[in-house]
Amino acid sequence: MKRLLKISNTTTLILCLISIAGLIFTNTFFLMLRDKIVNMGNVESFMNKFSIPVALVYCIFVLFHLSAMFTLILQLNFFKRENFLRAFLFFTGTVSLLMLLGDFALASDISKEYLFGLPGEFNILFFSQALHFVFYILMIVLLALTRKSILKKSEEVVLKDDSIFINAQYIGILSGISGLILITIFSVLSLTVYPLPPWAIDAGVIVISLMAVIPYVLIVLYWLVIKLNERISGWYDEKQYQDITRASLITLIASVIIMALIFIAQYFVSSLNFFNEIWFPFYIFLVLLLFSASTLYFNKKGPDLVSREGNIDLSKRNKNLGLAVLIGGYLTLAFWLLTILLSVEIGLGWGSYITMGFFGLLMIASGILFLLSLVFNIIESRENKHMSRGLIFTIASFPPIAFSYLAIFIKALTEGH
Amino acid sequence: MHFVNYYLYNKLERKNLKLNNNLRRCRFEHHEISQQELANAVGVTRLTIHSIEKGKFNPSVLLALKIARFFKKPVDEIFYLEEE
Repeated sequence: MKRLLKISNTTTLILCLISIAGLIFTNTFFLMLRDKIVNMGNVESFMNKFSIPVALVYCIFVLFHLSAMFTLILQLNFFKRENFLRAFLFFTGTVSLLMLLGDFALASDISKEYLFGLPGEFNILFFSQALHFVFYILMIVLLALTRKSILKKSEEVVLKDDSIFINAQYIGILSGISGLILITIFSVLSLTVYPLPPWAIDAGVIVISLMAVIPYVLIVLYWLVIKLNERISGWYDEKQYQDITRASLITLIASVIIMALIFIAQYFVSSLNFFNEIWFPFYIFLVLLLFSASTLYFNKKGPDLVSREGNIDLSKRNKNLGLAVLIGGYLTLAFWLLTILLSVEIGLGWGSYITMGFFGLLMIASGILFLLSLVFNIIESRENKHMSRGLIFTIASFPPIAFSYLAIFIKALTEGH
Repeated sequence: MHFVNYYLYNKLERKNLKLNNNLRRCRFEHHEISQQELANAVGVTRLTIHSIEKGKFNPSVLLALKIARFFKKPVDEIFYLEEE
């Protein structure tokens, strides 16, 4: 294993250095091609002249990517410790490998469309080149950092490996974040700055989503292949079971709240209509991000829940609850006043709708919290035979909350007539 | 009588009890074995042993018994309740 890893590291390093030289060559080629198109030069003969060398360089790129992915998997097996750089490289390496195929498609599109002007595909092509460059440089950094430790480290026996589990969470976070950001930017741009037909938007969203999710699918498949030798009950150890259970609950609650907020916001803000195109991949990436991030948190830095079991500091909780109601109540009032001010001074529009949305959410949240805080603090005050601080906060929050509900109630009654 | 039991139960529940352990000491007394070696012996990940030692995770009864058997000690010599 150690020998194989050393050979693989060296091969990858050599291929990486050749690929960097190749990347400089391909970039120069694409820049010159762009100039030829802009200056109406003889594009066809230029492409014919360089198409074979560029194709050969791309073959080296593919070889390097495959070698790099193999090395990364060997390193994951050898080191038995999670490492963010390794996970990041697995993610960027997979995306970069997929983008190599994309480069071919883009180059083919450019060769067909250049007669109608400078094709927009060049922007994506240069973005792809930048991604390859980042991957190559970081790969050199990883190979340099691990070179000595491979020589020093003796092979460790690990019967239940947790490094793949944690690395999968890192990759899940990266996939989730990149998916959310890229599909949002793409759909906003394709509806506003660069208008595209609906089929092109759908195709773009699908391609971006696949690009972002494939690294996660690959690491999960790899984890599954390792686990196939074990019984299903032994796939996770008991702490991992507990962590993913907690993470699932957090994901369920948080995803429902976030999706509900976006759904409500769509009623008030018409520019959020782009969300109709991407709601499904958006939801998938949101769930992936929340689940991976919360699993990682519980697995690595979980709160000291054991020592608090069965003995939560009730008075502190009740005080915080009271404080939250107090802040929520006065914020509700502030948003009510802001909504009135905006509606009167500026008129109905974006601003007033947004503040109205916040007012509604705050009013509901502070109403529920008020009732909870009231019940808990009354129980605590009765037990301790003195008024708790949380109860004082709760009582102080009553006027703004009551005012808000009363105002809505009166408005509903008067609008009916 | 029922009320007395209920009162005593509540009193006990409200005490700040936490599960503590001597796992780290046991490891060092037992040929200074590493967390990974103990994890391999009882069939969990290293991070689980680490979390138990740090007091961030309560092991199941089965795992506590496996650990106790590994160190050839009674469970309550390794895991014990402590008042905060």
